[in-house]
Amino acid sequence: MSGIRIIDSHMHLGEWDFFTHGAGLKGILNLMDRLEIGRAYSTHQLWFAARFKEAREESVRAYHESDGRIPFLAGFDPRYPADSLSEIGLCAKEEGFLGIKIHPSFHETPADDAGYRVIWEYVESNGLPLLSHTWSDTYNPIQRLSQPKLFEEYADKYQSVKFVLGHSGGPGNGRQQAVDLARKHPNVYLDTAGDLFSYGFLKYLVENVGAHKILFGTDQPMMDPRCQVVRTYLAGLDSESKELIFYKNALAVYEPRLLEEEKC
Amino acid sequence: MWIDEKETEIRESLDKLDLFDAGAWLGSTPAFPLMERGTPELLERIHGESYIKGALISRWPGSEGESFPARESWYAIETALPGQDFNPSERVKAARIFPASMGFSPLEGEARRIFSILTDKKMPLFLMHTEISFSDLDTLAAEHPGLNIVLESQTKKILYHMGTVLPMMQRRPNILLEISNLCNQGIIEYIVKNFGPDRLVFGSFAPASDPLVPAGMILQAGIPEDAKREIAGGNMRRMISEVAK
Repeated sequence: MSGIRIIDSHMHLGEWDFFTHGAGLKGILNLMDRLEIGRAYSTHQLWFAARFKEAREESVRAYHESDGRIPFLAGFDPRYPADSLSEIGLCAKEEGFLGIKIHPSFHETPADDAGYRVIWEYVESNGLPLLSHTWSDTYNPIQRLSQPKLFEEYADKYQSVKFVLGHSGGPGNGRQQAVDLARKHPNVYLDTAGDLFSYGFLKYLVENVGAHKILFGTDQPMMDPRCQVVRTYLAGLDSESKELIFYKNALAVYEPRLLEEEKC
Repeated sequence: MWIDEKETEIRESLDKLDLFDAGAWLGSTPAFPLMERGTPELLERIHGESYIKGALISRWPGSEGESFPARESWYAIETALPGQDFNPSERVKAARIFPASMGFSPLEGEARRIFSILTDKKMPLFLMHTEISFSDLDTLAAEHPGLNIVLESQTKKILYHMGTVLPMMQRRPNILLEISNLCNQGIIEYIVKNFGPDRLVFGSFAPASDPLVPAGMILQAGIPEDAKREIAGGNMRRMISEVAK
């Protein structure tokens, strides 16, 4: 573990119907090496297409073929809770399994829907972190289902769950909602994945929620990770804050055992 | 500490790129509610932080009346309107049209007249991809092969459109791509390899966007160093130098 510099806490595996160059495992690993990204936490796209078995098999394969550099999250689909949980149970037996991801927009189920209760209970009882896609109320109406304010009730109820708001609420009004939620709850974190390109973005998050609650993420290979690396180095933050953001917070949330090893 | 050493290395590399920003904006727009209003002072600060050494300055509606800030390394992009005279001043080195927002067809006579003027002046035309259909753009580029058209990746990202954009760039060598919001994985390497480095132009979309996003895409691209410098500023500076006085 020693020598790790960057963990990409939010990326994907799978195939895409738009241009991505080097989206296969080999291409992803090459780019990780080039950018000094030591580990990357994946969610396979097939989890969002209700192809749970394939998603699990592909995730496990990528973990082993990457020599353990790409651990994975399993997706929970509230439209198929029994099948979804069954596959998650199999994931939990696998080395490389880190936690759960939900995606209210892909699954067309608002984040405050009662259908998510079962997965919140599952992560709480198993001591697992939960990552969710979050976004703003933008021109794309499906993104309304993932607004951070919709998580309020669950975040209140499950305060022992380490909960990461993917994309920090997106590029519009969701950002303030994400900040509000993270300020209110010690267990709520934000990640930087996606096309959140506004000037001063990272500094704004640090000033409002603290560097200890922000995780570096890229959304690779949907987005080129090179969009994120240089701007994080030059975000005008002190070195300790950048270390937290680049990898220490990711370890604290998803791999606390490795963080302890790192400290030793 | 390793992180400080890396930061120093990145700063030195950025400085060597000689960045020229083809997409800096004065004023503000409701389309980006989180942005700070663009002032000359703010743009200078952002450019300083990002090692940007010159710029083409645009203005959002509402700030056109303000006098153009006198900076030696700053030039202007002027909005061209069909049916109105287009007599750009010495500092104007490019034009932009907004067909969708302003409700005109870029293929009708009055617009064509603008393109002829620009072609004669060797002045590039800037066009946001949200302002024109790709089929109209293809026709425009075909009808005016001597006109350099810089397709801007704003005000929404170009991500899902590459299946259309790349074949069009192959067909129309006078279409260039501005990269402030271009985030497909590996796209810079692909375009450089298949069409050449002279087809990409660095722009920041500051102050709405962070210049270090596209600057990072160039800096860390797996392409030769001279190709990086072309994209970072060489291509735009060359087009500016060719504009007829």
